[in-house]
Order: sequence, then structure tokens, then C-alpha cells
Amino acid sequence: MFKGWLSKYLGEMVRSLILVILTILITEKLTNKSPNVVVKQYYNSFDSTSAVPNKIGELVLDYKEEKPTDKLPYYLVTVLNEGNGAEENLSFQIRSTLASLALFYKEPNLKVFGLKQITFEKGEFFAELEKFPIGAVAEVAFVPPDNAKSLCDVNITVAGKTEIGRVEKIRGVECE
Amino acid sequence: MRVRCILGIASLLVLLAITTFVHADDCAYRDGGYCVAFIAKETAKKLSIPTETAMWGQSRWNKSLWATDVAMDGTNYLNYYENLWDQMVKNGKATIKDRETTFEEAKKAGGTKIGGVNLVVLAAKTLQHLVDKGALTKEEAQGILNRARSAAQ
Repeated sequence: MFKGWLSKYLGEMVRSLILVILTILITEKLTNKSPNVVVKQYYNSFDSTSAVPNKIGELVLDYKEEKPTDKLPYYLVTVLNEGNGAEENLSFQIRSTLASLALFYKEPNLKVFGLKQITFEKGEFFAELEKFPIGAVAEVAFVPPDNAKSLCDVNITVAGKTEIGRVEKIRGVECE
Repeated sequence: MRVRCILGIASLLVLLAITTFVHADDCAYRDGGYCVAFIAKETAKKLSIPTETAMWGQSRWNKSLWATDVAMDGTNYLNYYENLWDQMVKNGKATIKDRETTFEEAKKAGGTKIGGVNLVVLAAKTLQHLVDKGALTKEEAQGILNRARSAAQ
């Protein structure tokens, strides 16, 4: 009797099971609230050795080469939350063994993220933030060393309560 | 009569000051006499991409959550053009090779380099690419560049 019942309803049971699993997977995907913390680095500078073309294809360009005084060069570290959820207790550390880093500004304003701790000692920067919401962006600017290549040596670590952040390679300096 | 005249001139001066202030404030990033923000906005308009979407890759970026002290931060526009080119590659409006060549040439140019890239050259090269693809006429592209100079004033 059981065998008969099983053979009658097995197909339907399997179909229902697949449907339930699919629903769970889709719901999980739609309600994925995990953060995604990414660190981007930029070396922003003024290059007076190379020329700027005055013709780009058919277009005429009249670029005025004027160095923006006291604003360049600088080394910028940007921490972003590109995920679908907020991160908590996010801490990030920026340090270099070769380069001697100095803050471009006195101290970055990170109060909006519930700043718990911030230190800058012996060229090592450390900050701990209570919250880091979706779409949050925190920037720290440094006076770069004379040899921009030594920025390749800068070590950045970022970690929150949920996960460890991803650090992208520096833009503007060719590292080996 | 004299008072009216003085008042009239004063009003004109105030109006001029307001216009100049509003105009200058419109440009989020300028370099080499060009308002890059203006070129980026006009390019997105021509491609029917909302500027915010192209700028942040996703529309939910919240400006109030920006903790930055860097006054002349052009990195937003480098990200903008990276996203724009990614979208053009995805939509078949450009090849990966086009993207690479454009960024390489913008890296070779001198002047202000944001992440190693001259953004004015990158913006102009993007316009030229759109001319080559027939999305813009040469006159329209040159018009955007010329107006970007006025917008930077």
C-alpha cells in the first residue's frame, strides 16, 4: 500500500521539493545583505615632461598646462562599501616599510561613520569605524614620497565584522 | 535718478556675482581650462545613460556618506569613464581593444594625472570614439569641448 502511494506521489514530492529549494535560493539571492568593502588607491600627480596633444582625432583641444599649486601630487586611499549590506566595526590600516608617508590633511573626517579610533604614528595610519553603510566612501590622502614607485610597497588591510575587504592595485604607478 | 542708476548697477553686479558663483559651483572637476564634469555629463546624455549611474556604477551611492577632504578629487571621473567604457564594451559600442587604446593614450599625455590618466584627454578621446561610431557628429563633439571651456571659467 505504501509502495503504491509512493509511486503515485513521488514525482509530485520531488517537484515540490525542487520548487521549495528554488524559492529559498531566489529569496536568499534577492535579500543578500552582505557588505563588499573595496579599497582603491590613486597616485595623482602633475606631469610636465610629457606633452598634451592639441588634436584628438578630428577634435581640437586647447589644454592649458598649469600645475594646480599645493594640490598635487598626493596619494589617495579610498575605502568603499559596494555591497548590499552595511558593515560594522570596520578597521583599516595603511602602512609602508619603504615610503615615509605623511597625511595630506591633518586628519580625515570620518566622524560620520562613528569613528572609534584613529591614529597616525611613524607613517602608519589606523582607523576603526563603528558602521560603514551601503555606498559609504572614506578617503585618506597622503603626501607621497619622492619616489612614487615606493608606493607599491604600501600595505593596506581592511576588515569588518562580516568580512575582509579587497584591496585593488594602485592606479598611476607602474608596479612590478 | 542718480540713486536709481546706482541701484541698477548694484543689482546687475549682484546678479553677475550670483551667476558667476552658481556657474563655478556647477563644475565638480576642472583641469587644463576644461570642465571635465560638463563633458562627462554631456557624454552620458548622448549615450542615454543617467550620469549618476555611470558615475558610481550604481545609482544608490549616497553623497552624504562621502568622507573626503580632498578638494580637487578627480577620481570620481576616472571611475565614471571606466564604468562608461565597460558599459560601451558590454553594449557592443566599443571593443576591449578600443578601451585599452583610449586609456593608454590618456596615460601617455602630460598635465594633471588622476590615477595616471589625463582626464581631459580621456574625455576628449571618448567623444572622438563616439564620433567614429556615429553616435555624435564631429561638430557636436567639438561643441561639447568648447562649452566645457566656458563651463570651467
